[in-house]
Amino acid sequence: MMNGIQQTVTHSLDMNEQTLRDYFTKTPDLIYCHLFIGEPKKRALLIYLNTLVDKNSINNNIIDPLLFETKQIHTIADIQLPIGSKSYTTKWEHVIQRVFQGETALFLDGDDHVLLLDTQGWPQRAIAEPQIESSLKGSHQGFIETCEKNIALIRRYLPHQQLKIEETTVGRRGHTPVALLYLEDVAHPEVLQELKDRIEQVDVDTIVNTGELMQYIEDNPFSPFPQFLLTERPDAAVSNLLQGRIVIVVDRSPSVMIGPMTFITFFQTVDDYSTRWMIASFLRLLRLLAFFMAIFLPSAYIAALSFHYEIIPLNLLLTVGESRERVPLPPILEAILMELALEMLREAGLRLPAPIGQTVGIVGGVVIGQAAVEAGIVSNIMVVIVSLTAIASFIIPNPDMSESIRLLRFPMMIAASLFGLVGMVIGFMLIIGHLISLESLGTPAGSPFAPTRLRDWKDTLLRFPLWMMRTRPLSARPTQLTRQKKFRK
Amino acid sequence: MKKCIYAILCFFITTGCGMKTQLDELTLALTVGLDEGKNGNLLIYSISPVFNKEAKNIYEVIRTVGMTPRDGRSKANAFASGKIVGGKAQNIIVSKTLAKKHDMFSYLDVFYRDPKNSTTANFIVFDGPLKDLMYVRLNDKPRLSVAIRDVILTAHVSKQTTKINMLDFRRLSLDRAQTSFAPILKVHKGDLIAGGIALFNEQRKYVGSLLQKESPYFAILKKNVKPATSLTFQTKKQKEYVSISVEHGDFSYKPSFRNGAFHFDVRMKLGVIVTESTTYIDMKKEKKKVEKWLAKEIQKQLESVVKKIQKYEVDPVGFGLYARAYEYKQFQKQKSWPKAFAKAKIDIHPTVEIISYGVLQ
Repeated sequence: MMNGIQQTVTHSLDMNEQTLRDYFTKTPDLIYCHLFIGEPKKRALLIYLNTLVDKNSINNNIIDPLLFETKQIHTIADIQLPIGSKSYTTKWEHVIQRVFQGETALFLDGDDHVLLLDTQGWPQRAIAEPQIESSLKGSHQGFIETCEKNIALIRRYLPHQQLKIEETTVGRRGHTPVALLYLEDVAHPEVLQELKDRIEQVDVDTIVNTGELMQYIEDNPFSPFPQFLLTERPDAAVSNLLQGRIVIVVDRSPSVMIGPMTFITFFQTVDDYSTRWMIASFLRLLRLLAFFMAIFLPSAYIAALSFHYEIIPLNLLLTVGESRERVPLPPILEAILMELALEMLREAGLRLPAPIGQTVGIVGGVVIGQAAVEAGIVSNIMVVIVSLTAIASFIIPNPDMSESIRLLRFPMMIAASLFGLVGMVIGFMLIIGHLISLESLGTPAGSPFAPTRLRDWKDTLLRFPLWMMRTRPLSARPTQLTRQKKFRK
Repeated sequence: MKKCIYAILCFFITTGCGMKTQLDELTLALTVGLDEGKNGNLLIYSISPVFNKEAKNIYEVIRTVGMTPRDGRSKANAFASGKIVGGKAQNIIVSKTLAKKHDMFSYLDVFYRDPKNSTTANFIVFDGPLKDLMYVRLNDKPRLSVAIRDVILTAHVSKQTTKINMLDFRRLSLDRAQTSFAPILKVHKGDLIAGGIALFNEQRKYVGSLLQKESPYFAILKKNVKPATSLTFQTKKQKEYVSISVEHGDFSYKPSFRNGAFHFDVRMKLGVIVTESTTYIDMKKEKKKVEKWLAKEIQKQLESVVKKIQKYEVDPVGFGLYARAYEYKQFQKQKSWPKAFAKAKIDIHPTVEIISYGVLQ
């Protein structure tokens, strides 16, 4: 550090200040505050980054007591300040790193120790309702961009000594703080070690968002399916913690990452557990149906119209025939055109600011829905199918999984246009085969279907009553299985 | 990953474009009709839907002359707007005159042999020259093919005729213990009428028919009374009628072989609802009497139906199935089951139980 300049702080305040001024060039927000403290007066220097600190705290808790200090100050340890979190160091490296994190450094003339005071206070947003994963009955607090606040949100649910937090940093320039949260008596140490090893190996400039870290450490980067769950809901994070999974909180990112995950967990929501089991089960089945519809509906349309007209019931066949009468495109082009239009609409609606976003809806609804049919470019049936696929893919609660599914339907459509139902079956088998072999942090992502663990099926296709789910699912390899005692007959 | 890419590339090379049957490029023969033409040729009709809005008709009828149905289709392809396919065929219709003269299998062969043809199409006998049906103009009905299918289905449900698909027609024809049958379709003053049952003999030739009013009794003999077989009887007085609806029945067919002939003891318990009575009957007092009278009337009708089919030497009811099951040795000795059946003695003993006679009181 400091390229040839000394590693440690010296006794001379002037030399120290010079070192600082050499290092922090073109840093106008670094404040040097010279003070004379104690009786007799002794020179001291306070430095902090104006942009990252809580100025009230500095004025009231540091400068004010120092100015009115009447004791004699020999060493820096004699200074008493009303701030809880403080530390001493002699290394420049620490001083600079901490100052960049919003702490304040106090140098005293004639002392080579530096007092570091926690005065962090940067711009942050208030805790608000989760935007992407909204819920009816879940909590209305979502994660924000500050690691400490996020950990606080999780701790509120689990005030227990077994909730362990391990902190590390990722990135050479960004030093992004990353915290691993887990229940020590539940999470499997091997899985935890695997995750730590992977994070340790990440050698990049910085991690801007949790999604970036996810891509560096996931098991199979060539899979269309997500292998970690990104969530902005503390309650979802906690329920996963209790299943023995590990929560990774990345500072400056409003979503936390959870692993290891299984395929079926992407179809579960917090609301599933707070509604009654019959309704929750129905919703689960609905989502599964939506999964198949989103992948297979357009390809089934193409396959039936290009190869197997026999499988369409006669009355529907006549309707389809009438509706396709003026369409100049073969089914595959018709379908790809409409599905791409849908994807564009979705993307446009997502990026546009809310007031203009409505325009997209109108344009999409009118142009795609009506005008295209009237102009004879696409058939009515195709519009119905595209709408159904869109709705089906939006039902999937996890946005990552929803996007994977939407992507998968394009290869399925091509397969169907080349080989008909045979192509669809081949595509389906490839997906199933891939899901079975997929891993998340070395645990099978296909669990509890492959490997088959019937006991864990209670929380998959159907959601059994809560009092029947007495054990934690085996997918995350928990070391302690009991979730609840049998207390209800 | 590389292997995966190679595999996907291989898929693209081996596309199955030759096998594609794009719906837009097809002419769906929903109804195929066979009639006798001149000089021993075959008249082949096919009806297919037309989707073009500028076309006047919503279906087109293609008529060709050929040696066989497949020959006719090849010729028809010359002027059809798309490749003719039979995968969605709803009705296969033969004219009565053709059915009388020829073994049906020689004409229907292609519908069985080519797996791309639908085997669940209805097999129908048309009473009259087929052109009457093919060029009939139904103004208030859907496409002709759909109308024919629906007429047959409705008439079958109300037991005015029966219905049989191509597969069953073949199965019954090849079964030694029974013979096949088919619904009869007519055109009367521009309307489709389904009624009566065509009977085929062992050689798959048309030999005779059951009338429309005999059809419900044929259904009863085949144990097919659900949903509700409706019958109307005339009482002893003139112009007084009683209608009943047979709701359920218990049947027992007991075959035996005595004195060189088969003997069938048919017993049935029919639960009926009196649905209409133009004369006043005090059901509370006369229930037993009415039941007896109804049983007798039903017995009369059933016996006449059985006599008729015995006369034609056919067994569409499937008495042979019971003979084969219970009198196998004797059954095997018979060279031809329908001939043996013609000599069989059949006793029918229906009993009727009135389960309801309406909500008058």
